[in-house]
Amino acid sequence: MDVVRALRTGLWSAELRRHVESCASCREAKAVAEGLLHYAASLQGEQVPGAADAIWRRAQAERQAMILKRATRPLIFMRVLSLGCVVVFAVWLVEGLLRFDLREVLHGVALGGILPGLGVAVLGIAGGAFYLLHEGKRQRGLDVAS
Amino acid sequence: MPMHKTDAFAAEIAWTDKEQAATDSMAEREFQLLYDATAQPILAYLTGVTGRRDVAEDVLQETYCRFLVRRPDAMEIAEARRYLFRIATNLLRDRWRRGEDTPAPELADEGSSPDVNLQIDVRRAMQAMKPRERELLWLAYVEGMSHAEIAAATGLGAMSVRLLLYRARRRAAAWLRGEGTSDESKPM
Repeated sequence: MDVVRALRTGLWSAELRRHVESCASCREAKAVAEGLLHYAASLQGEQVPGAADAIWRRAQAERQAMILKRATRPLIFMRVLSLGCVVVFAVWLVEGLLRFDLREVLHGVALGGILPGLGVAVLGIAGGAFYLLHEGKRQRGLDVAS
Repeated sequence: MPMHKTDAFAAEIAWTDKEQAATDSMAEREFQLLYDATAQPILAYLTGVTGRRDVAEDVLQETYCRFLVRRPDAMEIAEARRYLFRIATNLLRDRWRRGEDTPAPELADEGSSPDVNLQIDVRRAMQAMKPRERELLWLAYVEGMSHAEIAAATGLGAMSVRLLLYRARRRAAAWLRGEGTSDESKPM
């Protein structure tokens, strides 16, 4: 390492010089390091790295995308959860309606109150599901377009 | 047009970004300084190790992008430089693992002066080395990294670095003396 440091800095002590002359391993290291340093100097002279601002902008865009993805993760989770709830509720409702004895209701007084309520619930579920699905589709469309 | 939930999130993020604009502008200047101080040697390292300028330029961009996206805490330039070499080395290894690169060193600027002949010899020697050997030789002899620093940059153990570097140096020296054999010239 002393040989490499001396080659890189150009500061050779007399002692190190004597040692390198007498040590085969250090002579070998000196030859390899000299060759590589020449090669590296030639490469550094030939090549100019691209502009930093382009890399900065690319990194900023990637960072923004990553932040947006992280921020919308809970939203996506909630959307999936909502859809799940809608499906479970719809199944429960349909199953309930199938077991429903209409004659019992017809003799009772509750029919006038139950049916509008059911209608509103079904409309609410359908509307909510449509909105969730529609927004998901619209968002995907925007993502593709951008 | 009604604002959707995702738009609202995006707007919030944009607002947060505006708040940080001054900080970012300072960070951009710091990045420019770091880039000016480190890009050239890293590009030379990538070109020297891959032997391909196009690949080296791609990997250089990717290296800095990864660095910025991870945005580590404030680092000294020397520390950031080692970190950048580490990212670059990892990216090179990923490419080699995927079999994306076959080293094809460019032999340009041929002439007859001793310097040019030495460069050609070195390029040939590098071409004959394994990718890992090229990395080790470059980091040790061009960048002047210690064994511990090379170990950190390459993910090898310090003892392995010592041994592999010794072998690589022997092979490179043999090639420079014109004693390289065709068996040794197969890069892995």
